Amino acid sequence: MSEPILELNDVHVEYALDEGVVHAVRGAAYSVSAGETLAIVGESGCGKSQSSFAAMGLIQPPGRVTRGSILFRERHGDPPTDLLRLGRNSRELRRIRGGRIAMIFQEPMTALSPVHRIGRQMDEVLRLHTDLDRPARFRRACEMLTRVGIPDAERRYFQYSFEFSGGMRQRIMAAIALSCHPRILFADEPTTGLDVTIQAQILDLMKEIQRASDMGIVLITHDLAVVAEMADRVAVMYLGEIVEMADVRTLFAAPKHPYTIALMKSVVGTALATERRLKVIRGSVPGPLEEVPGCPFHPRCDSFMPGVCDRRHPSFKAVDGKTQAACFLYS
Amino acid sequence: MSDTPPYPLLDVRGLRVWFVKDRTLAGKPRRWIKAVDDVSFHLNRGETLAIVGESGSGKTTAGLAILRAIDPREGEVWFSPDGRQRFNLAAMTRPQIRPLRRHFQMIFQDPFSSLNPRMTVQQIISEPLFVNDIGTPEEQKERVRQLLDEVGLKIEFMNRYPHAFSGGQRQRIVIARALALNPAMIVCDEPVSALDVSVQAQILNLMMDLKERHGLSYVFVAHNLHVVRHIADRVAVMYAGRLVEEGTRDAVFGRPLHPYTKSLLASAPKPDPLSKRERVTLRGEVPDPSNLPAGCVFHPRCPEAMECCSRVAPAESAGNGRKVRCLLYEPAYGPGRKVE
Repeated sequence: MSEPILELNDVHVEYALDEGVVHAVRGAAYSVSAGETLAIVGESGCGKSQSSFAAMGLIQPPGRVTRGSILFRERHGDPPTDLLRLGRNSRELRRIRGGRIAMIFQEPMTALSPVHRIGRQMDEVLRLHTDLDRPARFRRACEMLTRVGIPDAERRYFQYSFEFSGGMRQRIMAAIALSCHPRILFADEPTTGLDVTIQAQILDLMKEIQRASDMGIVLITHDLAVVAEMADRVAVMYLGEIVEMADVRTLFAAPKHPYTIALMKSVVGTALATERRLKVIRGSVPGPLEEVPGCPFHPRCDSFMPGVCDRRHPSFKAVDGKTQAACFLYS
Repeated sequence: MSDTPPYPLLDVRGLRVWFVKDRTLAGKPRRWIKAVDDVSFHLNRGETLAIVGESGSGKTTAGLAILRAIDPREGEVWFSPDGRQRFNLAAMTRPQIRPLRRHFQMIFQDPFSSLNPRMTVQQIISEPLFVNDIGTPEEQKERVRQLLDEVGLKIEFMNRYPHAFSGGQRQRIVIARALALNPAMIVCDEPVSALDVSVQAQILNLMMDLKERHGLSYVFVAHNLHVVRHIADRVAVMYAGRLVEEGTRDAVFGRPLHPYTKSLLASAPKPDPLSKRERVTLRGEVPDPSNLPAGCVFHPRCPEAMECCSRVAPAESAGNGRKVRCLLYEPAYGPGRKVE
């Protein structure tokens, strides 16, 4: 692999609420290279979306990135820019965000403006991030709409988002995100809630554009089937921490962290979920304000070692040549 | 299906649910949305029948029409709680159906909107008992305790309100409420799709346990094919309001007959990085239900469409316990493939 385009180091995100401080992300670290897809998996509330919001400068008060760095290399060989050092609304961040780093959000209903025509929303991105003149921008927008499988683009360009179906809206978002040929695409649950046939179309489109432009993808999802299909590497998050990272085949064939193993066994259709009666993870995810001492997973873990797991916090390190994990079983 | 006892639990024949899209000036319906059109299936006792399809396929509407939550326009819905007597729910008035309602219940997708936020768990679960005037308040309370235990919730939760519970716990409350009257059949509309994956497993296990313990039968409406494969005994596939294929789980998943079923199964990603998805991705989208294509509703997207498919609507071809609606299986039009 070449040098990474995006590199997160020890990123912490906190929300200071009246009830206390919620640590949404605790020391997330990952990197993405050109042409690579990194999947971040985990259940709701594990902080998987928050780490991408941090990179996009989208953490809103009372939330705050309290520590860490997010290095972005715009061109191969360039010195990296630390996105967290850029001002919240600085010209530089606005230039990068949306153009060089793009995002597909989960909710196509809320991410598109209901009162502006689709074309205008596409044009805005191209106007801010490219030097194209108006006719060229129109051509590019229509070309992108056609590429994402929206027929009759010249007419559709002038329609509003409510005139499109859910799957089409999601594809319009993909068209907007991909129209400036970003170096990095954050795809936050890009196909959740879509029908499988539409899902297949969107996943194929992301792969096709990735092949053509060597874009890096950070795919945030809880759907292990989508991960298996798309990802090169996978990071598993639990309670704001990355607990395991490996290439996709290793992770599915030989998961190491007890949480990953339990997750695999509970998902219908994976190699580990073989029994008619599914294996379930004991208990439930602790509330956001609860602080779990030691390893965050120990109260639910099948391999809990008293006196170890509830006392100290496991460090995230290589357990063999292929996998990194944060678990005392491997130290 | 047999017209003499013992009757199957549910036998749906030629069900049609149409909605008026718009009317003429005189108030006559001008265009119809054919949400469910000529759908027939049955449910045996102790069985789980999954109805699968994409959004807009009419699967939810079919589920609601069975329970007369929506009135069908045409068709018969024969329901037989004991196998000896049967009732055509589609032809009965609502007051006539009322005494039968305790035999069938419903579980909805969203456990956040299907519980009244102003009622305690005890009130929610005992409401079916209260409405049907079953037992004294003390007995009702005892039954609530029993039900909470059965669905794996602590009895102390009885006096709390729904907001205090997670999605999985709420779905357990919904299930407890559905069980309160010992129904014979439960129609579940996407019961796990709003839940996290690890919680999905818990609820699916619970539903299978309860089925064994109480001899329940489920109509399981869902779009997640992995979940359906896990829980269903038989599968019915719907597309644009039509039932295009029906058969046992192993038959439908192992050897799908209808081109739509084939594409649907092929486009679902598998949670296994070694099995790469086949590229028979369907082009286009589900058609506008008020303006369905002539002939076979699937023909504009069908990879195996023949010239006659745009003219002739396929009839049901049956054989070997399974059914399919496709001209490829009708010798008069196509190659006359065998239904087996």
